[in-house]
Amino acid sequence: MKKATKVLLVLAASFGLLLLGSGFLLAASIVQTGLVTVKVHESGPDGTHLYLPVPAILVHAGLTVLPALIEDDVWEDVRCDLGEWAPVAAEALRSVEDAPDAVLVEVENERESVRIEKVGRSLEIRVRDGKDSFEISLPASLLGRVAREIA
Amino acid sequence: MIRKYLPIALLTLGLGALQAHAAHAADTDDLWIHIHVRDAEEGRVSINLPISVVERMGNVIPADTRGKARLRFDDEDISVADLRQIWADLRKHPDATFITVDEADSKVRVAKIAGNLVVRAQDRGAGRHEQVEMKIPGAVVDALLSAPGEQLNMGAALKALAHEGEGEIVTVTGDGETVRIWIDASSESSAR
Repeated sequence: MKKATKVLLVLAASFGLLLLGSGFLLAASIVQTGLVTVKVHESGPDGTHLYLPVPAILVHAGLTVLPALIEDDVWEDVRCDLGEWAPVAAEALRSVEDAPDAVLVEVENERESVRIEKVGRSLEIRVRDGKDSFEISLPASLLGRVAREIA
Repeated sequence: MIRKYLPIALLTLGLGALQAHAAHAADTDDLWIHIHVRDAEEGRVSINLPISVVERMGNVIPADTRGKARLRFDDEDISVADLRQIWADLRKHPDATFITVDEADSKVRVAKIAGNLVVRAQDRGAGRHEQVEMKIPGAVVDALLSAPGEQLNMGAALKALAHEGEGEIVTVTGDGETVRIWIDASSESSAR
């Protein structure tokens, strides 16, 4: 076997291992921290149709680096806005993280509906307005993370 | 003989008390508070929360934001201090109906029944019919009025409510609308 072929083979194997390792890491992170999914369905010819799955670890990372990227302390602003109710809001978020499966909030009228449901380790929020719908599913652990920031 | 068995008896009693406490904690942990509002025009709102959530939130409600409260009765303000005094007096008496208002278009009854403060009101005006029933456990009223001065201690009241167990708390029925607040062991509000 020629030397160039050997080098190419080693490079290809390394690349393959890197891909495989990244795949395993991504899968492990999804198993560990879950997945944030956003579904948007707008009726009409120009309506938006979107399905966006994002590993929650990226959202966690985003929350960590956000203060470094933005000059303003976003969490401090949130804490100021909430004032003395910040601990109450934080405790509510923590409690939802620990809550058993159930429909926590449901608002319905002839045209619109909002449903917030705890399903397993996820919190699902569904908003329907006529033929349009917006759904977001996020790991409940994210709520605990936000609670730690605002408390 | 007594010396020999006293430690065993005390240990048994202690374990029994611990078991009872744990059983009570498990009981309240399984309970849910439901708030259900139905309006013929506006639709339906349903909130279901584990009672432990209410209890935990009650623990962190800040002391100085518990808020000044004022009740109006027949266009007269009743201060929290007055309310505290009235409740303290009611506490001493056996179960009875303390306030009865019978007017052409409205009726109000305030009573103490089995340690609970029970309020029943009916309002029948021109083209309207509204009925309110409230059963507030005495321990919750005690906790609510436990703050100093003109404040109501919402945090303590929520904690006390969490310990009261299953039951109907508030029912308001009016023309085309109903409001119900109750506690039970089901996580679904349609269960009752």
